Amino acid sequence: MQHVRKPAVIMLCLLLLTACWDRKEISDVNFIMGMGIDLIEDDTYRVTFQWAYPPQFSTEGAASSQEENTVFSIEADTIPLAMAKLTEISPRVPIFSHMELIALGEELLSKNAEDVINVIDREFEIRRTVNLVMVKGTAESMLRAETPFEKVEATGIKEIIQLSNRSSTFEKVNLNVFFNHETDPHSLSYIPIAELVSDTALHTTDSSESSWIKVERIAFLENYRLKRELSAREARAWLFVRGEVRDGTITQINTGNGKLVGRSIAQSTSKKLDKQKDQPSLTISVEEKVSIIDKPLAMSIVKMEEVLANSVKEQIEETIAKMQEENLDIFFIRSFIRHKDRKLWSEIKDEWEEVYPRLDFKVQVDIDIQHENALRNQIPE
Amino acid sequence: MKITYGQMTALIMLTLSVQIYVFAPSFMADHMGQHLWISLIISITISMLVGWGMLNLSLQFPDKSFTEVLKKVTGKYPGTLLSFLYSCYYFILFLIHTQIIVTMFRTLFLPRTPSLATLLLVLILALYCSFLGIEVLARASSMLLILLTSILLFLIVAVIPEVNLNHFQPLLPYSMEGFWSGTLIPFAHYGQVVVISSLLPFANKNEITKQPRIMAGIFFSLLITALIVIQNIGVFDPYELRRLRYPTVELNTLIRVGEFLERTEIFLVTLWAGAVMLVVGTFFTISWTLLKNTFHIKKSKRIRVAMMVIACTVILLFIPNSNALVSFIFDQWVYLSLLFHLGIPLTLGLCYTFRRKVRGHAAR
Amino acid sequence: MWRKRKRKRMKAAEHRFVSRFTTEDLSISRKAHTNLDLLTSNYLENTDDYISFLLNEKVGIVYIETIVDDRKVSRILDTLRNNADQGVAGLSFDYKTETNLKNIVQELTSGRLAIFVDQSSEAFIIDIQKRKERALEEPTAEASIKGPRLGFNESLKTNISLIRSRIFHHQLKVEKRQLGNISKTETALLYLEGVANNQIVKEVRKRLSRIEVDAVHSSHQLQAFIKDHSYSIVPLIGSTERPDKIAANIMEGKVAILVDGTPFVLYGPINIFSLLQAPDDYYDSMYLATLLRIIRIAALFVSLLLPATYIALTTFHHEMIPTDLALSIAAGRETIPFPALIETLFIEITFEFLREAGLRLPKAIGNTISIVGALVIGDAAVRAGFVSPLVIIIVSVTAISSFIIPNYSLGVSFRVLRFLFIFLAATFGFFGIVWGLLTLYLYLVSLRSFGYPYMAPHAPFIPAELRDTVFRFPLFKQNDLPAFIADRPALKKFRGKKNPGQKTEEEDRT
Repeated sequence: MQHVRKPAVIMLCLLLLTACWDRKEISDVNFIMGMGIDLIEDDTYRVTFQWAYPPQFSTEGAASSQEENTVFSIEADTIPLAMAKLTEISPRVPIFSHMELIALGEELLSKNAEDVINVIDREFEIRRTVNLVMVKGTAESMLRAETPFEKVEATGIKEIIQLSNRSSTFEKVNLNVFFNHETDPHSLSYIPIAELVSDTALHTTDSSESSWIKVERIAFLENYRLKRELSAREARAWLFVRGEVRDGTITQINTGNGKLVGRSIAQSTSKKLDKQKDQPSLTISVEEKVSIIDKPLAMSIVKMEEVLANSVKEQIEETIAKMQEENLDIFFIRSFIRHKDRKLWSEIKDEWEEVYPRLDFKVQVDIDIQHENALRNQIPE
Repeated sequence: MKITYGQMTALIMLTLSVQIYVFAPSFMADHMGQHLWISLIISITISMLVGWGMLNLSLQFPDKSFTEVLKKVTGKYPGTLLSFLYSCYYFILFLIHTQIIVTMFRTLFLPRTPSLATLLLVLILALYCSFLGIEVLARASSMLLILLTSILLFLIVAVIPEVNLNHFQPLLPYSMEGFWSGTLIPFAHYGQVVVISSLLPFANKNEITKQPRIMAGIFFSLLITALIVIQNIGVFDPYELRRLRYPTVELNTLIRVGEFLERTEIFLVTLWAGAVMLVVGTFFTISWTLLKNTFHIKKSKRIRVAMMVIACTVILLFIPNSNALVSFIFDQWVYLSLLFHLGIPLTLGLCYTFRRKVRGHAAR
Repeated sequence: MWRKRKRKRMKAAEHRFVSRFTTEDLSISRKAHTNLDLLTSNYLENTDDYISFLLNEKVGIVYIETIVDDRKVSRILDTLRNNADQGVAGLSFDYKTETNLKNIVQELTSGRLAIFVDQSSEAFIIDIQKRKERALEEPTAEASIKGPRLGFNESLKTNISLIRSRIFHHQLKVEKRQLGNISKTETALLYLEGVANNQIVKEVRKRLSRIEVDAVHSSHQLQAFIKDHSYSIVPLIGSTERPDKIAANIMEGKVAILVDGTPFVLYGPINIFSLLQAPDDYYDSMYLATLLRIIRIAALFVSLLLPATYIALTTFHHEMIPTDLALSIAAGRETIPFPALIETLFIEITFEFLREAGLRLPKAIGNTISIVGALVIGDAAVRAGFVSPLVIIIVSVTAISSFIIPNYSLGVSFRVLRFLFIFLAATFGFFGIVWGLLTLYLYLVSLRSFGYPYMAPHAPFIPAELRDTVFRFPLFKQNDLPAFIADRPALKKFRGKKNPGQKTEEEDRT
């Protein structure tokens, strides 16, 4: 055995001494945190990279926090080319494994984003958990804008999407979710929309200064192409139907004698498919647990539940009707039918365009008030 | 030195629980969509039957090496041939597993490292394993099995939040389309239970055999790997799964435990690689033992090194990258392995019953 | 070809072998003074501490004054002078007779006194050996908080008595044997008959008898001759200064080898987990013991892998580090001119310097060194932009954890292996680490200590014995002796009850 071990050891030593092929010192690495992709002309992309500047993150460097330019835009015919061109200006090797956000420009999505997204997908360094957003305007402007607290905007937007979302007008979408919907031939895909906040919201007088970013609403894509943006109200209705309304979401209703404000605690939805005389109908039952923050005087719990339920129901029905009119399957009814009733699906598969507008929807909303958070006494006037 | 039945079971379980979830899920999804669980169940059943048969057949000939068993059952020359074939079979398994680690690391983590370097490392380890012998490998296997199983269980549990149960619907298929090829794929992996008959001669005959326990252990690892394959469907829907080359690695990338444990795939994959390297060593050792028994080789060192050189050349020439490897496994090996997993075991079973009947008549 | 060359080398070595020189064989004469002359001229010339004289013309006395008890000598002389006619018979000492001068010389050099009487063809040998001996102290290398404070010293006799005073039983066997052709060092093999596996005892006996060296200076030298794998990196035979540990091991059916002149007693067979046990584990609660053992195993891995992991993470797998940490590491390394490998090696080697220096320095200067070391390594290197702060943390944690390993030799082995892992990680990242780990694991699994598997309860996996490896179950649960080692596992029965104060239901009823 000694005789074999000797050559083995020699070989190992040679291996170890000759090269460290994939070695990349961490200080020679450019951590790309976000990527924005815009289409400026036909077949020319403007790719904006944002990276992190390490000294900003060390305890010692924080004192001398000079503003460092960490955003760079490159125009190129393809994304890989743009990535390659980045190395022309970056003295450090860009790596994409820490990337947290991919922003896609409105222009790009309204043309066709298939090439772009497929390129992103093929890069193993870019994780499947990276967040996707669509940007109203250009993706570049967003990466050059600001988010409070965070030094890197891409991180800021990611945190907005993942951590603090309480307004419930969008759902976080990462590459994995996106592909699961996009590769399904009978499903639309969706991504949240990011916008620059108008100057009035910031109350800054100098409008040329950088503005802030917000994430709101949702956009639907079909075959990598923008199909429709939902309004905030529609998006909320959509989330109700999906059962994805986050806890903490505020609902406010103006009743005749004062405001009724509720905060969602938990929400769930179930769908049921019925078939009567070859006419499929869909029952959507929404359940929500709510705590009441503010209420009009002398309103019973039953009454409040009813008012809230009606409001939600109205929202949903309105949205469904609109989508049927536009023939947009944003509630993933097709895949739902495909999963539940193969036979029915094979019947209506080919004439979906005609079936969908005629589809019968029943919406049931059940609001359950868990408690009233009465911090203040109500004094009748 | 003999090994215990427990160690033998651990080694078999280890060899069974390293590979199927690497490439197979996407190909199975391609054939069967979300119904791949049916083919999993069927192939597990057949594999268990084959394993049970081989186990009992080998138990009929205690203290006989697999080569001798083959010779006893089928006759001298066919036995020698079969033994040589099985030696080749394990050699191919050894090549496949080696190349799986090498290409996976090359594609995913070490793109610039020449595959020769990693290949040499793996081959050296396999050679070292063969010098240590099955006994040491068997002793080491229980710990690695525990490690690997806990990784797999961790993966299963950690990714549960990402599972979408709708991807499994409709549960039952309406046609048998793609069913045959879909079942062949898992069976090409699970059929490796035939390794049982090559390992059994090493086991200590004085111990009481616990066949049900051995089979239960095997079933457990088949089940765990099958669960991972099924989970792949739950996380990626069948359409998406077809596009992925390394679905289970991608599954790893979805693990998120708090803010600090996000990107664990390299960690899990390397631990897995550790287990695979032991399996590689095991297959090489078995292949070598069979070859040695077939041709009664005495001097072994040089031949083993030569086998390594052959392995290195074959890998570099015929399956140099993951594309070649995948097309070899799923276009050729899937059918070829049927011979070793089903064809020869069935023949052996028939021969054995036939011989026993004849002997029974003669005795009368 | 190899074999031929080897044989040649062996022959050449035999010529150079010191102990091959021959001692003249002479039987004693009937005249006392002739014997004294023969001794002086043939064997003990140029030996100034050799005393020989004739007592009243008939009786000759010889001894070597530096290793005998002066008081006993004078007592012997007194008796002989007073009862001259009675001769040796009047002595209140135990004696034996010897006829060969060669043997007599041997006896003399081991601290005995020889009496030659005229007209007698025999010499009388009396053992009056006295050697300088260190007082019994607390073992420094293996301190214990709650355990006994006593440690072995350099005397074989004392050491055996320390063990005997812990096991008062006739089944405790002591087999003495002289080793070393010139040094003639006394060694003793101790074991508990009926518990210790006969095969192991036989095997150890065989291995001891095979040893042929000129001198045995320490037990560690012996270890190199009797361990199963001569080239093993890790210690395959335990060694300790604590009598309680040896006694406990003997009770478990292991064998102990004592060597005269060293306080370190060898014992075996061992497994790697026994090297991670400290005596305090058994003197404290099971919870603490289990926690400490887990910490020790963690420390073992840390001391082996931490620098390698650091290198793998920072130069290969950046994606695994959480983003914020990655950025702060990058910021710390911003001004460092060296790659992480060189940086780590530099600090590691500096630390090894310090450790060696600390060991050799007189105690008074030791503190100075530690201050200088702390200042030089800790602060100045970072400020000078030589290394990054994180590396300092990594190396110091590694150093601390390597001191947690109770067995010094095991710690040293892992220190050596650490450098190997650093290089593997720098070439292949995690792949290299796992490759190395698997190779190391297989290697350890293949090792044996006196035929007993080195990774015993883990590989081969013996679940029942895990009670005293990583975990320490309460003593009444550890009923069985380890498999393979002990002959009669039933011996170790604790007739203890789980909660001795608590009445069972039946007792309650009555």
